Amino acid sequence: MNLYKNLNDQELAVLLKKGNEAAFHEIYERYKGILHMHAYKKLVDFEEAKDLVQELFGALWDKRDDLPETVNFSGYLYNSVRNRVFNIYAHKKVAAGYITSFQEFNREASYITDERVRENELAKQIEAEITALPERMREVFLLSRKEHLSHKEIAERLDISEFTVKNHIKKALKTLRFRLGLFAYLLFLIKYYFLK
Amino acid sequence: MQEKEIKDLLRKYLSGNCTEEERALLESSYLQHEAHDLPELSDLQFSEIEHSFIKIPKKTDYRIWGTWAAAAAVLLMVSFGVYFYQSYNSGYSFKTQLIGKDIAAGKNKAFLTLSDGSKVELSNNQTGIIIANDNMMYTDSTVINTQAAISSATTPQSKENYKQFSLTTPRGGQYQIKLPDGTKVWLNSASSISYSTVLINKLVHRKVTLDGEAYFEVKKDAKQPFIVVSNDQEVEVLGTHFNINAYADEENVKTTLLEGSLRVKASAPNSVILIPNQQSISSDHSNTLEVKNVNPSTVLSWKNGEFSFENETLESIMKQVSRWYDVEIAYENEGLKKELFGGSISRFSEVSKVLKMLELTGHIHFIINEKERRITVMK
Repeated sequence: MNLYKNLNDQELAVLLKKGNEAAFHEIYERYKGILHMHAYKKLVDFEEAKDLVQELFGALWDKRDDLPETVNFSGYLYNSVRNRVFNIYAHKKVAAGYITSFQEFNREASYITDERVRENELAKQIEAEITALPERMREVFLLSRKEHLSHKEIAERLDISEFTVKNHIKKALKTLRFRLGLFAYLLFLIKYYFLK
Repeated sequence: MQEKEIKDLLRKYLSGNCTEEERALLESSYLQHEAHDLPELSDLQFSEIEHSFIKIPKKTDYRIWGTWAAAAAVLLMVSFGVYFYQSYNSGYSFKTQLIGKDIAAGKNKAFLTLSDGSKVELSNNQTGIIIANDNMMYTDSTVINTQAAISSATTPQSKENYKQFSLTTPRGGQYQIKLPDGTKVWLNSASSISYSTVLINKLVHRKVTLDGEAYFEVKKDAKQPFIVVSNDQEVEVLGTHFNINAYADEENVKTTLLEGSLRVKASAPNSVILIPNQQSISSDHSNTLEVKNVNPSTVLSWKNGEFSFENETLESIMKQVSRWYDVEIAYENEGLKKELFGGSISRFSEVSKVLKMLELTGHIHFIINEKERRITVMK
């Protein structure tokens, strides 16, 4: 039995704080996919995203003693990835279109004031990347959540969200079209739109 | 806002000096930002993520060892002195961690199944029940409310019901029962006994089947022998005090005699007569029946409201913890299971107190996860 696969994030975090390498590897296996995909979407650069995730985990190990005693370990990882993306935006010449995007957003002048809502949205956005991942990586993540969601269920779940996630189904479908080929994509569309 | 201002704002954010409003603005814009014309990743790139691995930086460097050995030795001695002085003064610091709340101990909890199949949930405020030939009640004479039956039978309760019945405790439960013949039984958690009378060779026998652990004080009755069947073992007594530990998840059935005498018959043609303070250990798969002397107070500690361990394996200790606190146990590594521990503490303490006692006697720590009811054992 692999104990680590059965532990939840908080328990792994406690072991990580103690310097347990196996716990650290399990956290990496769990999160590498979605964090990488998320960073890729925000940076539009595969190699840069790869480096970001590697550096994030390197720092996680180095600073394991200072890990906050938080109950929301995934939230901590998600904030870390956002900070690293921000850091790149702040120092890069061409910041993956973010500057223009920010200016447009700023003109509308409506933003989410509640910090918890922002945190939930970030978590949803990052975790939605599982739809794009290869089967095995998706399984590792979903197993850790003890939830086995079908594409449809994931889509429905994302539908509940109020902000930004509108496009996610569209994008998930687009990803599926690329990954499954046209025929499977049409089947999925039929299933999703007519049978729900 | 100009590009430079935005980048300055980002730097301000990263150094933690943003106002609440600026933070909200940046984080919201981040959520909303989507790159246009994002190229789809190729299968090769997906495979690269999938097979990526994280290396742990190693820091230890032994090359300077020789030069500094002497100095290190001196420093070490001084540090040990300081360390012991400090631990003597500040007490031991525990490393067991709680995720969520502490976990409360088990309590009096059981249900009774009567011969007509009806199930009665027994009160948590009572310690035990008395079943006589024609009625039943709690030990303080309160009437048992059979109306509160979990599943009631179609026929009304009749006296016949009390001739054959069973008592079951869940994980985290214990209960006492006085049988119609006057025998007293203490039932540990996750255990069950059923009682009936049977005719064997024209002689009426009192017969109990046991799963789990129970302590018996059998009422003397030479005309009606008392039999306890558990797994493949049978114990026959006249009037004695003894404890049987026969959990399905334990390798052996342990029978410990405290008073009188009894005969243990195991599955093999093995049979042994115990004298007080002896314990027989019968093993299902090796077909052996071993006898050794034991400390009766350790064996009976559970009945006396205590956990008491003497050189017991961690695995065995944690199984008891698991049943009484209704938790699952996970081990950081399997080797820990065989380590030996000792100590005693009230069974009614919260689980953290029990684990801290174990921490005191060896180099182990625990994570207590209340929500998932799991305890992780680690070095």
